[in-house]
Amino acid sequence: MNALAWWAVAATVGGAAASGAWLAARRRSRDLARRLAAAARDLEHLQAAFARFAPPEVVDGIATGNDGLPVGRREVTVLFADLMGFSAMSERLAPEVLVRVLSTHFQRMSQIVAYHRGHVAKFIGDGMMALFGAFEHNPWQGNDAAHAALEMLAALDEHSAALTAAGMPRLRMGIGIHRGVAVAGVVGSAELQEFTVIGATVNLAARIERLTRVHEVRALLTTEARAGLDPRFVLRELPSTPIRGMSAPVVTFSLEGFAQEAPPGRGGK
Amino acid sequence: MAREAVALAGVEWEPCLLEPRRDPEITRLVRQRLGFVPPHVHYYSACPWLVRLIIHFDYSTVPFKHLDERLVELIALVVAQDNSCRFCYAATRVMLRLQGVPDDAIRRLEQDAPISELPAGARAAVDFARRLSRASPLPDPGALAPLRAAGFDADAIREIVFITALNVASNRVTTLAAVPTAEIEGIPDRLAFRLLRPALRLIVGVQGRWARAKPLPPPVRGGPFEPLVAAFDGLPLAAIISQHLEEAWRSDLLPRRTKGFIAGVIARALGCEASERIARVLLSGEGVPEGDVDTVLSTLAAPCLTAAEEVVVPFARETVRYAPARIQRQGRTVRGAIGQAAFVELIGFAALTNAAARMAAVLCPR
Repeated sequence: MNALAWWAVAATVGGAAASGAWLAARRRSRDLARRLAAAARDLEHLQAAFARFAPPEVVDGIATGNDGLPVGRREVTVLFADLMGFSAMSERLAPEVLVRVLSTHFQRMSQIVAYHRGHVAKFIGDGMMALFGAFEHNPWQGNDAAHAALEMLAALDEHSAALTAAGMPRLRMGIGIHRGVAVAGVVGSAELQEFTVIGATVNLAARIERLTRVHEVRALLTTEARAGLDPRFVLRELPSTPIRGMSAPVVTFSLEGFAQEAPPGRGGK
Repeated sequence: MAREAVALAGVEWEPCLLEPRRDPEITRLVRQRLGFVPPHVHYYSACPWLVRLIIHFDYSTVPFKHLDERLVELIALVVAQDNSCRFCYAATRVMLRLQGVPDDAIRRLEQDAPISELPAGARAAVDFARRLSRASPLPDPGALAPLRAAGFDADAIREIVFITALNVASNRVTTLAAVPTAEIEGIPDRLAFRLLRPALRLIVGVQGRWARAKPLPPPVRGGPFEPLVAAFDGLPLAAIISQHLEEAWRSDLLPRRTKGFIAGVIARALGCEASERIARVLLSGEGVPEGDVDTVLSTLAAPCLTAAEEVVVPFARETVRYAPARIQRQGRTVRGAIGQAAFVELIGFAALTNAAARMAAVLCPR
């Protein structure tokens, strides 16, 4: 009887211990599953966030650890936007005010670029380079860039009005747009890489932006960027101007607006 | 929200753009084909051909001969996930449960983790479906090589292309209209669903077998869509594709030339030359001069466009790649400009041509 009792006690204790161990293992397993799910969600969010900085095939390549990321030539529209007189302003304003003004400006400009299917490739001091058609096939990249430019200028005016009302200097910006073929790929060191485009197309767009000061206009397009534009964009042809690195003077067009009204002769059949 | 629905629960979704309208004839047709009437069908009743297309979004009505149901649903899941279509995603999760896929497995599928654990064939099919759906860049016939390498024969590959494209269409039909998702997302959590799941699973299986037994009309030859229909020659799918394209083209809720422009813009946005050729044939048949077609496809604007087309043409471009809430807000403006019936046809035609262009890209010769 005693032996039976001992067996019963041992079985109960053993059973309880086994149950306890099983419950603990189950809890650990659930905890692990929860953590894995959270990690997978984080990864998904990270991948979605990264998709704003590189084309899907590049994001996929990085996510799957593929070293041979795609590099190739593609047709892109490059938009350079630079604040004028900001360096002088930076000497007069307190650093924290300066950073706040610039961050507000870049935030708004980036939103506008993204809305028009472009992406900001880089900020360069008080300027920025945006690309249209670099991530995905976009036959209307010129329209998108031109719409973005007009909206950026309108947003700058709004921001500038708020700044002058607060006693700060007015902001001015020049925009240069050029369309052409560029080499696109992930460039950089092992520590710091970025998806970008390089080549003559990029250089010319940067130089066209500087030309806005010469012609005293706010936004300039090259002949290549003008091709395929919606005819409702209001453009003014400017005299051809020599540009460093170009064998012949370059014709540019001042981007002055977008006529919302339908052009004459509309009607269809 | 159930934890399984987390993956797409954060997707912003506008209130529905359409008013439901119960049409007795449409209701009868859908009940006859599916055995029940999904509530969202009533949003599209203004456009009968689109309702007939929606019936085929239920895969039990599609005569697949080479793909098993789980692979079909798996492709549907990843395409819906990729297109951020909350409605289709929730619907597919319900169907996977009915087919007996365990909740854990579905959850892991949603988290993308087990794609690498799938058998080689399924993995190749899912990878291909994602690439075709994203179309960034648009795959060409060379993209079919991994499917061949994974052991799929020519017919099975064409079925994979078709089911991917069908989901590209279904995602757009529900997303562009912002069909309410609350009801379908809540189904898996209902006690009745959990208790009746085995019985429902049986019913779905039987329904599928019945639907598959129905004979299909012979494929239609000739006409502007012939290059795409011919790519499915020998499969019952050819007749389905032909029927929907012809019906969509013949319907008069939107003028034909407007639909020609929609097809052309979508083809151009994707970079699909074969589809652009078809669109140009359609527009030529409607008497639109080639110069006008060139101008519209290059600039999305031209003096030849009617007031409605000026709204519709830029919107067609948006249907290729989109964020749901943004395109739903844009759609609300378009719907206000052209009215509900025309907008329903616009949704359907844009969805169908998005699907057709993706199929043509990989199956039609350049």
